[in-house]
Amino acid sequence: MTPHANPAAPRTAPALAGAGAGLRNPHYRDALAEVNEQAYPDLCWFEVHPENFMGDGGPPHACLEALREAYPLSLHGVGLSLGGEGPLDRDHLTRLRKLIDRYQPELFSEHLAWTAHDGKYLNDLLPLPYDDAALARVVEHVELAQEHLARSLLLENPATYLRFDTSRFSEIDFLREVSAKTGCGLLLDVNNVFVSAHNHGFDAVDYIKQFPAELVGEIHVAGHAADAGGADLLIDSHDRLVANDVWQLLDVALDQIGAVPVLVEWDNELPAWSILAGEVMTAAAALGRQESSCLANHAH
Amino acid sequence: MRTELQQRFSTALFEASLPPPSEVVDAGAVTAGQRFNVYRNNIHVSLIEALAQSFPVVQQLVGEEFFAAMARVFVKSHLPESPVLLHYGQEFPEFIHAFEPANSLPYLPDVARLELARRRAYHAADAASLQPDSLLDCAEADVPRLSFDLHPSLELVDSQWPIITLWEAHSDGERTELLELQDEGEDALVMRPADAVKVHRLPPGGLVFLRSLQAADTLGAATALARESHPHFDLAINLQGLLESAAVTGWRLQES
Repeated sequence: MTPHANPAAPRTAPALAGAGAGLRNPHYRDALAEVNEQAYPDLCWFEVHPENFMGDGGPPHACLEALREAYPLSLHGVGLSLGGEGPLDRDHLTRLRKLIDRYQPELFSEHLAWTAHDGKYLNDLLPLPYDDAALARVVEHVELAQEHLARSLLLENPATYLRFDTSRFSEIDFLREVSAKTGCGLLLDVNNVFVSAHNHGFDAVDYIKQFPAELVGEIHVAGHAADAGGADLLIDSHDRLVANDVWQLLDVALDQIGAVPVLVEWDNELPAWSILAGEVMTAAAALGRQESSCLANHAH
Repeated sequence: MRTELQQRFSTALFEASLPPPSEVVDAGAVTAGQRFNVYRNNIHVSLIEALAQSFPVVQQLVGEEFFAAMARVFVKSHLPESPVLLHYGQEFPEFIHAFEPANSLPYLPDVARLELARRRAYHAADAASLQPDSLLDCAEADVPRLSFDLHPSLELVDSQWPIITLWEAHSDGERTELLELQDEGEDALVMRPADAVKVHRLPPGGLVFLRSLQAADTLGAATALARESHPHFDLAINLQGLLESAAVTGWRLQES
């Protein structure tokens, strides 16, 4: 036998780097076509909500299996309620562990928020007061989650619409403390920074510059909207193109942090795949200015 | 001791007359109430949207506005109990049945049951189906003793309304004219053999026949039951339909 590579052997997915796309059900076919055609070679990885893959079988798993063979993968949870006053949902942790064991994602992330209370799931990322009690609770929950999932997670800064007069920490200090006590990394959502900065009247660039760059494992960008209720608020709607201001803020973040993976999220009013892929190409171009590509991690 | 913040926060989310928790601050030109309302709105809109995605034909039949109003009432009394929203809305058909403003569309709960069955089939476990000719190996004398393993995605939906006809007329995303409901009721077999969910009309007696097979009865016993309820039950047509829908994953002979 000559030592040729076995063409039937599964391709080892390259490490996660470059620009990625948040994938939702209506785009499964487009994503599978991308595996073969690679029409967007700068689309380097995919991210999905694990909650959408907690059925027993069918097209969602078939799609993720196929993508997983060709691309690095990130699972971005929305249902763990790390900031919840009640105990973590053990059943949900078990479901997450099963998915992580099956798909071996390069990254797993969750939100600094609560989403469930008293056995009811509220389907929104609800805000926390940044006080000692919340800090102790989030730390305990992140530790438990990391232990249960046998890996460290990335914690995302939220988009918020209100503040509590009981907060004692800045959001950045709160995140820094959670990371220091649990070893978790951070996911910097640049659109969330932009939205929260508008809603609370702080400077988005200052926030980015104060953000602990060494802890950031991933960046998100997405579209936002004005409040339909007429209040002077921006809503983290994920239903349109990324705003120019947010692309500019991404450049600031990349200058500050260096080339970390950048994801484009689009969850509502989904566009044609080519539009979303175009946004990913824009993110790739921003990373390109940092001399990064899909293979950045292989170059070292 | 003061009630925990998240208890007060979540109570106020679903009671529009309640103010937000007192710790929420007014800031700039935007009041605490306006800020809190964003979360109220997000939760309702996102859960109504989750229902609309699972029940697109019910939405077509009643229109977006009516659907949103009905779903909003449902959401308040049936918050999800799990973050896995792909199972959310199991109680929606019974809710519609009891929802008075929808009484003029008596077939609506059954259409909702059909859509739920389609969603369950979509997410059900995968399994390899038998080829339609695979029963040729079975000796004719043994046929009554056959029992079947059925596909995990198989769902049965019975109705006294022509729910499949209704569903087909409205599932293309276009609003079509309301059908004259003069047809007989239709029973559906829902299956996802590969990547697409299929809806099949069951012939007379088919529902009784398949429910019996689902309960692991032999082909002989299932046929007898079907003939009892439908004297003209046609075994050949039903068996062929079952195999061609890819609903059979295995068979065995039971001791007589």
